[in-house]
Amino acid sequence: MVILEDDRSQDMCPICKTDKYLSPNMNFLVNPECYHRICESCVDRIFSLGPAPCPYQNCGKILRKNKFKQQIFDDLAIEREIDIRKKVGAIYNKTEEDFEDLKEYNKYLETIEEIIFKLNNGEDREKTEAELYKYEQEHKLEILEKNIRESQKNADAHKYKEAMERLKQEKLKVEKQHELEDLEYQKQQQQELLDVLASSNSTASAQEIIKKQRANASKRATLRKEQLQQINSQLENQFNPIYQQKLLEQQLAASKVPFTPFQGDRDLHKQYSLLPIPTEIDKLMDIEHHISDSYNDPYLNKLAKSKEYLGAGWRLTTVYERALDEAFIGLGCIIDQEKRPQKVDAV
Amino acid sequence: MTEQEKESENGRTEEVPKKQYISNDDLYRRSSQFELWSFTQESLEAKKKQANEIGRRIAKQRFDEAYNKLKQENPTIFEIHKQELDANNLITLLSHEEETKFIHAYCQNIVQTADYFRMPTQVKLTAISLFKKFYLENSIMEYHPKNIMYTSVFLAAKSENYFITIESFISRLKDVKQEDILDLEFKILESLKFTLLVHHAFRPLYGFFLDFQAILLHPSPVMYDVSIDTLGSLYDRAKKWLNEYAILSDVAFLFTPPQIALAAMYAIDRRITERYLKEKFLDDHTVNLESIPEHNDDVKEEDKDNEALKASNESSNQREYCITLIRTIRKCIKLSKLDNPTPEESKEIGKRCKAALNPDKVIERRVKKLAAPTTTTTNTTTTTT
Repeated sequence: MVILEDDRSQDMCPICKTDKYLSPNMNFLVNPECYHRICESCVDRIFSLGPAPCPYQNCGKILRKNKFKQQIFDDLAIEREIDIRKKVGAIYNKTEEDFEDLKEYNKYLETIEEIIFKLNNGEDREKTEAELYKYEQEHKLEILEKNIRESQKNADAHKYKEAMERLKQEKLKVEKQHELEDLEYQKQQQQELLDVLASSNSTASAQEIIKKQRANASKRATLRKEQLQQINSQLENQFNPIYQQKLLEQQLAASKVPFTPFQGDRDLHKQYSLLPIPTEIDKLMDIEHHISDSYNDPYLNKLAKSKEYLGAGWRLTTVYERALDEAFIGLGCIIDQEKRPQKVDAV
Repeated sequence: MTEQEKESENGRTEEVPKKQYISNDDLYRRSSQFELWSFTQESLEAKKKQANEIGRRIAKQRFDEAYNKLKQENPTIFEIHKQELDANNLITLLSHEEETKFIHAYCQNIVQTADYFRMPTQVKLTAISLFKKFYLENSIMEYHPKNIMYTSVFLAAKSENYFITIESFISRLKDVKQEDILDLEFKILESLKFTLLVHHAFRPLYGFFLDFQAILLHPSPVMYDVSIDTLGSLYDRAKKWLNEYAILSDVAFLFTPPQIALAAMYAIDRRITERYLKEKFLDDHTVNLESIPEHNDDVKEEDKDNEALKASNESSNQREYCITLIRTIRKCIKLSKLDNPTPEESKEIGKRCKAALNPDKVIERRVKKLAAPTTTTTNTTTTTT
């Protein structure tokens, strides 16, 4: 691991001593083998001809150019951990849906974290790495399968997006074509009109002829509009299967019971009914005379009048409610029966 | 017992609900207190035995090591006094009953310590709970209770938000060093499986004090001789009862906090509590709860079941629930009143506990004593025997 040095040396390549001050465009790269920072031009210079040892003193690790990458996090410890995470995550790639219940999944996550911790902190690293390799060999097929499934899921979303894009383009194309056709038709009509006007003799009928032409044109326009709509809906139908599937999936998801932490809705039916508790400030200030039909606790009555308590948001109701709630949580759990081993229960 | 049976027992929905509902009891079943730290009487006993077993093994090993070492150092004395230095007679290990007694005695010390620091009841209760849980996993022959006790108090103060710095904590205690407490902290947490939240019976008790008022006094008093003052004094006495019996005994492992709270009420005033339960859980108020048999006799239980079946389903469920509840409460009262060990008894156990923890000192002393008569006068032997 690199020891953090002062800011100036952070900006300087320790190999060629180029400074960021003089060449502001320089970039630093690191190699996940040893995480030593080397500037881009040095990497090009040293590693272009093939694998070479790290130029840092006392490092000597053989590095390859294609493994060099831009450092994302300032802290190399984090950079390293994320690399390890990526590596382990590619092998241990199961998701929650692969497990029967949350507990199993959490156990799985725990093992992953343990491996990452061991690799990261150098705690029997070789052993862990060997185990990781062994796991990869043993579960090669599973990992591949999972990868394919995941990418399919991503691909589905991708496909849908693509289809929508194509639909849009198709629509635009059709519209453009229509416009072109319309333009041509208009030109033709004008030509015809001129021809008719030229050939006819009476000037009175000229008005009528123009009117007729216009009526024709508007009729045609509405017709064309309908046509366009038809084509559009046809196009949409063509892309519909995916669209429909999406809708169906959404509906399915909506019909499922929403997530609740205890696999079911809380029973909101309380086992007690709260008596009316005074809340108005005037009543609270003279609480002794307003609780004939409410709970009576001399100690709390005193607190209820205290302005410091009221100002801080303290309320009588919450105190009573909490105590009553706790009085009935677990009242019906008969431990002696429920914790008895199953065999005794069956008899 | 399945979830559904439980539900029907509560006198609620009979048919299978479309959506699963989580009752308050189910919530309690998910707590670590129920999942990890609730036992039947038998399993609690077994757990204690197991801890004792481990403690015995460790103490034995420790003893053997010390014995063999001293034997190598002075073989002549071991040769001469074979009988007095017989490995089997030097120390007697503690049984799990004795351990329980000793732990019980130390719980009283916790109460004193917490009172000395003027800690709230909540801290005191949590400290006792942590201490007891620790000794379900470990034996006093492995860790001496003294430092565990102080660490439990310190830890409980932290977990119950009554923070006290380690410096000011140890400055007010005799012969305890900072490391003694801090070193044990993690060990205790580990034994507790990192479950620090403890539900106590005191807030439920207060809840029942309120609900007693709601049921028995409103809209009009149900019993002619019960007023808010009677209930107030009942509540105060029930609190005292909890402090005196329940918090020191093992009931927290065997019953849920509301049950313990009701047991306290029941122990103080059976008549009022029974009336309350009747009004609360039964529609039919004429049922005589007095006739519930004291013991869980299987034959009688069957009788009860048959009787209950004859009645309408709804009320039989209510009755069943009520009867189980009262039985549980009675059992809780009975188990709360365990006899305290006498000071002599606990002193004796304490001595043997020290011996088990430091066998080398015991053997050394014995060796010295046996070696003494040969060099000095017989005076020493008479005083030591």
